[in-house]
Amino acid sequence: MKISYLASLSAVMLLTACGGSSSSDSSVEPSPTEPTTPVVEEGTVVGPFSTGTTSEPVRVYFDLDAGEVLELTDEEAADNSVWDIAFQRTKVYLNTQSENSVGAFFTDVNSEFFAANGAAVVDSFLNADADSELDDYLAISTTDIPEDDSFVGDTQESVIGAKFYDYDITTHVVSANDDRYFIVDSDDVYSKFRVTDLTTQGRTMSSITFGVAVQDTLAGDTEFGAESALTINTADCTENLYIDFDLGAALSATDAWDISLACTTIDDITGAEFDIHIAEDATALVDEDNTYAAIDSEAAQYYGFTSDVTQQLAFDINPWYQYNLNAGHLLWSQYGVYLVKTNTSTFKVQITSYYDEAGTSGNYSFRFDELTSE
Amino acid sequence: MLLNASAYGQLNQAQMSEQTDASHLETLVVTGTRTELAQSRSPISIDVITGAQLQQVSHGTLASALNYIPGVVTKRNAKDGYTVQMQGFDGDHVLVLVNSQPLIAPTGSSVDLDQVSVLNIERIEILRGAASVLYGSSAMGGVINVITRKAQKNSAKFRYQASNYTQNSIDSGDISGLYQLDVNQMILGWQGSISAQKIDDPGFDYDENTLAQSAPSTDKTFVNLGLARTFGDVNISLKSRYFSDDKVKLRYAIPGQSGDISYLSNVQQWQQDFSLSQNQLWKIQGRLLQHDETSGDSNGLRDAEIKLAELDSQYQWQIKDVAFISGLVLHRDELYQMKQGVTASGVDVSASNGTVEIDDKSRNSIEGYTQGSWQLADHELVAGTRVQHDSDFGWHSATRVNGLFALSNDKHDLWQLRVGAGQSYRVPTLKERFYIFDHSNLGYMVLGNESLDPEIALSANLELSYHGSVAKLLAFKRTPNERSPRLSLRANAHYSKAKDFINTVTDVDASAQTGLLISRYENVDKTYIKGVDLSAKLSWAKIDYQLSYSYLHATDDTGEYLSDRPSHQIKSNINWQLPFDINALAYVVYEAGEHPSSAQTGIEKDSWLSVNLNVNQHINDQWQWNAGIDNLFDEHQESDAIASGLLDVRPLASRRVFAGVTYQFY
Repeated sequence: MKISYLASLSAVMLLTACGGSSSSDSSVEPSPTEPTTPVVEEGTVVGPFSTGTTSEPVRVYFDLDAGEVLELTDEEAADNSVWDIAFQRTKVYLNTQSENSVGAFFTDVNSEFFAANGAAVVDSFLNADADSELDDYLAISTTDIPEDDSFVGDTQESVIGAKFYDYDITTHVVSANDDRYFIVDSDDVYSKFRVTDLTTQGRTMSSITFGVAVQDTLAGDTEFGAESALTINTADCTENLYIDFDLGAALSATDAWDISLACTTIDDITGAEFDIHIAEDATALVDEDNTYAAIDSEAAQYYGFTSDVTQQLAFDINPWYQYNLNAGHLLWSQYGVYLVKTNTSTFKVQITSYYDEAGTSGNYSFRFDELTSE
Repeated sequence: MLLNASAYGQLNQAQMSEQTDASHLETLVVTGTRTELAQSRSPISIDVITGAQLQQVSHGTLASALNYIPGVVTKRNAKDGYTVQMQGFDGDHVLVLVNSQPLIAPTGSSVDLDQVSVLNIERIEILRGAASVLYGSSAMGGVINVITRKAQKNSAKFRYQASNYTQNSIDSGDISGLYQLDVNQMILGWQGSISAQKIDDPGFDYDENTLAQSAPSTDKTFVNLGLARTFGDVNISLKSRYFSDDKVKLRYAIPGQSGDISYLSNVQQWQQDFSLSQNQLWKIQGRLLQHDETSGDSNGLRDAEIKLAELDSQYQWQIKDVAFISGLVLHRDELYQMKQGVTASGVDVSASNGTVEIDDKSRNSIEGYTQGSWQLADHELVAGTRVQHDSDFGWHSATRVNGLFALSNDKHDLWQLRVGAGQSYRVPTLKERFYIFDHSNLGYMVLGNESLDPEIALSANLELSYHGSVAKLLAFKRTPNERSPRLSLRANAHYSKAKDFINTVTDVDASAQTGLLISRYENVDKTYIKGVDLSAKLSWAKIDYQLSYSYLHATDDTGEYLSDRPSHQIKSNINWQLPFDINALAYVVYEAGEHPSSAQTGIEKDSWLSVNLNVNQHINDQWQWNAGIDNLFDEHQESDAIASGLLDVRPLASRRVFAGVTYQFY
């Protein structure tokens, strides 16, 4: 049993024993056999924990079971299954280790903080504080825990990845999805491509054919040119393949390439893997219905280009804060209560502040308690 | 001219009796040509406000004083400082000078007028329109040249003024204090002067039910020291100026915490001037200015160290009938800005040393100019050019031609036409060149751009003026009649086409690569400004009356109106010399027709009216008192409307009652 659980339980027991009166009531003589575990009342706010500055952000890893911050580097945390939840500036992360795959569920106790049209009700945010929102927090109990599949964890997604093919689960046949287009922004060139054909070789690809249309901004192109075919033989690859659409050729890793295909050379199995990545300095988007005949470079940031791998954070689905409600560039908590399910327990978490006492941003205060049946 | 005439109205009765003819008291001005000449002879139209007028309409600084001047729009900025607009150009494009040399601009290119004391000012000269040939960068919409006093006799004076923001006081009974000491003394052949001023202002608040305070409490200190002497026909002058300013304004509750966030500002400024001149023949003057500032919200303070150094020399010469003035200016700006680090809290990371936003950057320029003036009878043609070499953008130049044409020869019935056309410019500031504003935690950054070019404008103006009397103008009588009301009229039309205005633009590539919204300063915006200024001044017996109207039409290249500028401005003042050496002044400011910015969601109020009353009396040679009310009807903006993103053009100015007393020791 974990400390916070013990603490909560102790608090409940103590309150019960005292009939709800203050623990300093002199009529109750302390017993020498009473447990020495510090009493932590349910809903006690912990923090603030600083997540560093904008230029030097720090990720704070928190173990809900132990109720403490773990001193971990980001590298150590990547292989650590003890921490449950982490904070870095406005972002909240959950552990994705298989030994501790943490999921979150939003209880939506403060839905009235938003109007029917989705707009934030400013007064609700500005007038709320940890005390006023304590009752909502305390009201959350085990009965509010949903089915396991309602909990959502953090995920990663490749912008292209395996989206270029279809897999038939009955026939186990892989085929090109030539209806799905991708646009890559790399080296001042926009390349729209789709995979029109591929041949398989066991669990790898032996060749792949792209349909490619290029819009070379530096050359003055204002729209994509005609599509041309580019076939890359991957059957006998010995190292990863780096493809530049503008040149229409496979290059080396040090050249200015657009997409890469990992090459498998395990035992006698060779060929490209069914996974496409873009270069580190490139961005891409999925043009699902071949919508874009051109990219307006002045408005490129509005198309939704992303880097190769994007992280989908569970807390982003229901953001815990609203920004700049009173023109002060401040973050205001919605005091929503999240259920956070670790591999062993389920906790309720309510973020109460993003500031320390001096108003320094990036300092998380929150309350959390394990949900248990009493 | 009109203001000059108005200035007469501010004088005491004894002085008034002397001014039976305006020409007897013709004011000398320097700003239009960099040489002293009679105001009516200046080929570039110059308005003058005297030191006495300033004392009457100000509360110690230029901030509220300039609101009195026709055609000048004063604006309160986000740092609770004051800037001015002239002929549609904002504060970044109006040059504020003291003795023809620039001041430090803590916000962009705009000098904060609330940091300039009125204490030892002889007069302020206002030049409307472009003047980059003589004054270089930022002189696009106009020049405000503060001329400090040259003491000529021993004197000592103390003044105290108390004021109260009536029902808007933060605590009832709050009193704002203004203390002034002004001493001039001849010592061993040197004319020494010391003046000091302290302003202690508790601020005001419109809504006591909200945490946020409307105006900050301020504590300003000004100290000026001066030494001047004449050796033969060579004049030498040394001046030192110290200024400090502390502001505190409660702004927000800290979300989720029990504390509050306040806007804080601590400014210290030191200025050293020297001047060496031989009458009107040549002049060398230098200025060193250092401005140290810590300001911002209490949870995000910034430290800024700004330095300015300038050496300015000019020489007058002549070829036949053409008089020339040439000058050489060496100028250096330095800027260091850092966002203060966070304080360690809880059990986590150690404190950061802060983030450098502008890393000890500097710019140097060498500027040369020559302006020739050809006088033919009562007409005058002036043409000049300026060439500047900047350490960043290299060479740049500006040229302008002005003409003064006398349409009549009678000084008592004088019609004059002034025309001008030419170029002006503003060089990019160090902030625009080197800023690194990192809000990547909120998804955006703003970055400077070292490749910026100067902003440039082409402008032209046409002014017709009349100085005479009502009788002359209406041809009631063929001979001058000194008892007929004196009349001055002026109509000025101006047009400017500006391009390469600097604004922030999204850097598409950098944004795509970083996943942030990266904005960068670029030369992008175009502006078209046209307008008309009309004014009339009537002086009759012991009453001076002045009425002015300004119309402005300012758009960008898409035809959208520029925000933050009134389309219509009316200013009116009446000055009345009463018995017992009492002088009463009332002035009214009305502005309307401001257009909302793209960020504003609607209009709460797009016009405002301010009525101001003032009375003073010279009891005897030692004692003088004054009293008045600013903003009689307490017309001020609504904080709630501003917070909801609405346009509310009314100034952040509470009604204020004040009373003061002055004692002249000798």
